[in-house]
Amino acid sequence: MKEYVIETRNLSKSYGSVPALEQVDIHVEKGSIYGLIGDNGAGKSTLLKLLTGHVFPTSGEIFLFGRYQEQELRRCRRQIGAIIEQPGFFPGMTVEQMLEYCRIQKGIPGREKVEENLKLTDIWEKRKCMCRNLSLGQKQRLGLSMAMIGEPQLLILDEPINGLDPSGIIEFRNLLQRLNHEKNITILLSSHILAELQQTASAFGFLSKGHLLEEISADELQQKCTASFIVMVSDTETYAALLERNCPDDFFKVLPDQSIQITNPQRTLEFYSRLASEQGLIITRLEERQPSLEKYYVDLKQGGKPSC
Amino acid sequence: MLNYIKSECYRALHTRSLYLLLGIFGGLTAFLNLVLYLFTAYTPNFRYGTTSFSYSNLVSQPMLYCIAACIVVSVLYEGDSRNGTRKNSIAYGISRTSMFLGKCVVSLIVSLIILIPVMAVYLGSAVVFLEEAGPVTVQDMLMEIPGVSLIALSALILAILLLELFDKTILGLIVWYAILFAIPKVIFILSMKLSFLTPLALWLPVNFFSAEMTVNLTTCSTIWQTAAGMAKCLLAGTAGILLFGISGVLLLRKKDLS
Repeated sequence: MKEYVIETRNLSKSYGSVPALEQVDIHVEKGSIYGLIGDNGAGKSTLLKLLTGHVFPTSGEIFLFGRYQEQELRRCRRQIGAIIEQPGFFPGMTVEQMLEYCRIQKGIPGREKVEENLKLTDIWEKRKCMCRNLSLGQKQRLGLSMAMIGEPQLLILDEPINGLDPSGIIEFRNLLQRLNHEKNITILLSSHILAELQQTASAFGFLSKGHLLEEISADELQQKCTASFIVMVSDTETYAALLERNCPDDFFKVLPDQSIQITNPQRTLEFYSRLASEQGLIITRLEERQPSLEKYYVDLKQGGKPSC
Repeated sequence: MLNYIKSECYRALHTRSLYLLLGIFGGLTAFLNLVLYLFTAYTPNFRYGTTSFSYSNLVSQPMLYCIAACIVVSVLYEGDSRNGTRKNSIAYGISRTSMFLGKCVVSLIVSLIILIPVMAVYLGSAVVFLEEAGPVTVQDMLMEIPGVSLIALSALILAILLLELFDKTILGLIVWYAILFAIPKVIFILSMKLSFLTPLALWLPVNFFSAEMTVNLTTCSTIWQTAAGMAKCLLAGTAGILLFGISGVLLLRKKDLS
């Protein structure tokens, strides 16, 4: 039986008469990295705010570590580190003081934890800087440091790579994967950058207009979204006949622009290229399409059968 | 809640604006006495260069303690909503009630810590610079503190409640002023025409401090001099603490953070 760190049942939230989230059931397995995907206003932040206790549900239930009563949830939240929207700081405190404040508030013994965490998130050199003087990326790192102090079992991160430069994004991704693998920390994160999520997450939840459209694991997504080759040649009919004769196991179809899409190809791109050139066909286009979370999400949102 | 209080005390210790506030309060009191001294030295027949006049500025205006409490709360918590620090504490599993009560405790501690040196500077500079004469004495000053303490505490609790309730600090401060000053004054004025309002009007601190006290150059009659007057101050303060404290717990318990 699967062990869920987060589970919601018919979770709904309205702000006045405006529904922000409707009947959402999400399941975040222990040890997973769960990517929450959705447009602006889809309800991602509302869902994360409900989980962290910033707002109260209009109806439905939240289970954290299998507990659901309000008092138990509060106790469970001590095992959670979170950054929702922007990390919150006191601008007049230094980075080190800010983390010390968090350590005291969480009741974590040992001042050395502050140094450990600042080094872990690579912001130790800025420890004497006032929080107000940090760059956006440094603020994100400090936010992560604050979320990480006390070694939480669950990290909830809302758009954590906002403001990070490319190398910062790579470091951040590596850090999350390291925390997940080495410390078995479950991570729930939302992001607009789907390509980034695809590299990090082991499960995905798609939100649109307050509804959860689908939950899918990375493996299932991989199965659904197989890679394909697109080949465009001077004579499509001849090439299609060649494929039928030489590659009977491959599934291909002619697209409206007269290119041929070979789905789940059994051979290399060079093979299909050589096949055309040996018959004197001129190749005008040859490309490899990787499974795309983005395409899957767009199809799902538009109500069609998702494909990649 | 204890961890929350400890962390907030740590923060208060590292908040420069609180030290600045302490300096301003202390500096103002010393400056007041210095100005009185200079006027006495250089102006013939200047009547106000006495400790009595200096003390009377505070003794005749007990609501200054409430304003000071509100300033301390504002310095400590006005940025909580804007900086997003409140949501950190909620995410750490601290209940809204614990946060509210914790803030009350921390603000009280900080206020007392500020009060002690400021009063020392006030009394010390008065004794050093001014002639000891007149009806208002150190005893009146010191008796004012227990007399007004619970009322100031209720004002402090109200300030915390309103800053938590309203995301805009200025709105919270306006409502605070309205509840403690403007509305009681309106009730007092109305009570002159509508006699059934009189008992209520005279139980509101800002009204009974002005109606039941006479503090000037020749007389010092404070409400806390008598046992009944002191009891009235303490009862009004207790009622305020209960009213604003319970309101705070009830109103903030299920409040969504924006």
